[in-house]
Amino acid sequence: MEISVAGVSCRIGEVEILKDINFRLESGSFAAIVGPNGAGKSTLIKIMLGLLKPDGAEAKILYDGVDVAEVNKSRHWLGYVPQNYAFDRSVPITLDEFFKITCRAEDGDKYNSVLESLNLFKLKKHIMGGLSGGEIQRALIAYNLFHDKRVLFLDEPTSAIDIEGEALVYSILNNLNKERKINIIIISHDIDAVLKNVDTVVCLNKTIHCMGGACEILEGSMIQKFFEGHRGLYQHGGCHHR
Amino acid sequence: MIEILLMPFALKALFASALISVICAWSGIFVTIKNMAFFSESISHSSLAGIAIALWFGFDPSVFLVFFSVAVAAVIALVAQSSIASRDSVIGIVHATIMSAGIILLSFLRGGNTDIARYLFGDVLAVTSTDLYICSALFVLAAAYLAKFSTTHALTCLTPELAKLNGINVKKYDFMLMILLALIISVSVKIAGAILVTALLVIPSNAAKNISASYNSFVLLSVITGLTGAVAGVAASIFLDFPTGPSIVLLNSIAYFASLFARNYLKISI
Repeated sequence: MEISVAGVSCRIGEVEILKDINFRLESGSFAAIVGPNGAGKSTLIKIMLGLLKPDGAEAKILYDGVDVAEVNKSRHWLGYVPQNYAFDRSVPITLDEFFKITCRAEDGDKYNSVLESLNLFKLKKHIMGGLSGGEIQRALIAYNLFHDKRVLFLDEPTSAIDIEGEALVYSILNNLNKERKINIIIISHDIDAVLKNVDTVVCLNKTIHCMGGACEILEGSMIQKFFEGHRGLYQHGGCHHR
Repeated sequence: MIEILLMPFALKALFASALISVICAWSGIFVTIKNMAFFSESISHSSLAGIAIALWFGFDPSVFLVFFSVAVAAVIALVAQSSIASRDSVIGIVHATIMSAGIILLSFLRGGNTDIARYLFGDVLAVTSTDLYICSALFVLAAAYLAKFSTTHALTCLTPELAKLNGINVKKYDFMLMILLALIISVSVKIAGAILVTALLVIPSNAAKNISASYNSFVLLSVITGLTGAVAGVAASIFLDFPTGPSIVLLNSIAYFASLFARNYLKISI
């Protein structure tokens, strides 16, 4: 699904969060939005999801030419995995019940194969509140798969999980992107993970500073300059092209 | 001695309490998940102002209270949506405003104190046939609503952001839940009294939450706790000559503390 963001600005009170954001992502892309803390990354994806309204009537967010307001009204293509999934961990609800209540999922081959593919099958009868950060992330990905989402946004998908869990989440995302042709857009501070996994990088700090292929953007001096003076960037190794 | 429970007044009390307690325990699941105890408390306390207005104008308090409570819930919802204050603050402001107006109105009333005391502390043993019809109508309406929409409410209460992305109008469902609770509270006031009615919503569901291993047992145990508390509470109040509303609430409280003990020390999970 081709995604086009045009003329998006956002101001909260006197504070400018985003200024004239314009970019286009190709159908089937796996993109990362990178930028320092306070760059407006989470706000941008909430606007792209239609959860927040941008300033001005000229702003447009189109999915294959269809406006986000229309997408949300009739066809729920847009999936979202928040950074911190705020839910009351004391509510006694099993993973199985969560999917059946929230997705109206029914037992069957499709249901079980989604759970198997996300290593969740054996956790079906576990209480949601007892799951780890990585298991919750995978449960939310499953939630989006049961809803047949075509674009999946993930805000810092691996921030609350260990290295093993991180590798599993990225392998699942790569699989969804390649096999199911789901557009994936992540926010990440982990440059190494971005280099290994995504094909497009958008550098954001209130406005778009640079955009292009992952290696091209992240290996060059551009990224160092972009993050200069900012904290919160994790870089481990070199470019491992997908 | 058991014959006394088969007398018309006792049967009416048992039937009305059972209907109200089951519906309170079922809808109380959402009060617990969404932390709406303060909202429930404010609707039940505001009912005193509703009773004062009904007595002032000579309306039937039971019937007038239904409309009044729904109006208070709607005012809270509308003010909360148009204000930058938190929902809790808005509830506190609206609650205090209505209570103050009610107390001023009550100070002008003469001879209405018996009715006020009845609604303040509840008087299920004085339930009339009209009250029973109102309870039954509420039960049918609320049970039908919960049967149809409880999954949607579970979704909007558990994951409002994800529900919104799936095209569900979360604000609309939050509003519907507030109206439903207002209806339930307005009818339940006669059973448990304005002071204790929130207990019927909050205690059974929290007792169930302590020992539930799944959402299904959460709902089922909440309803069983509410129903048992109602039947045993009415029986105890008749046999021991205790006030009925507090008897029902105290039995629910015993169930809550027993479930807390079972959770923490016996590690029971059903």
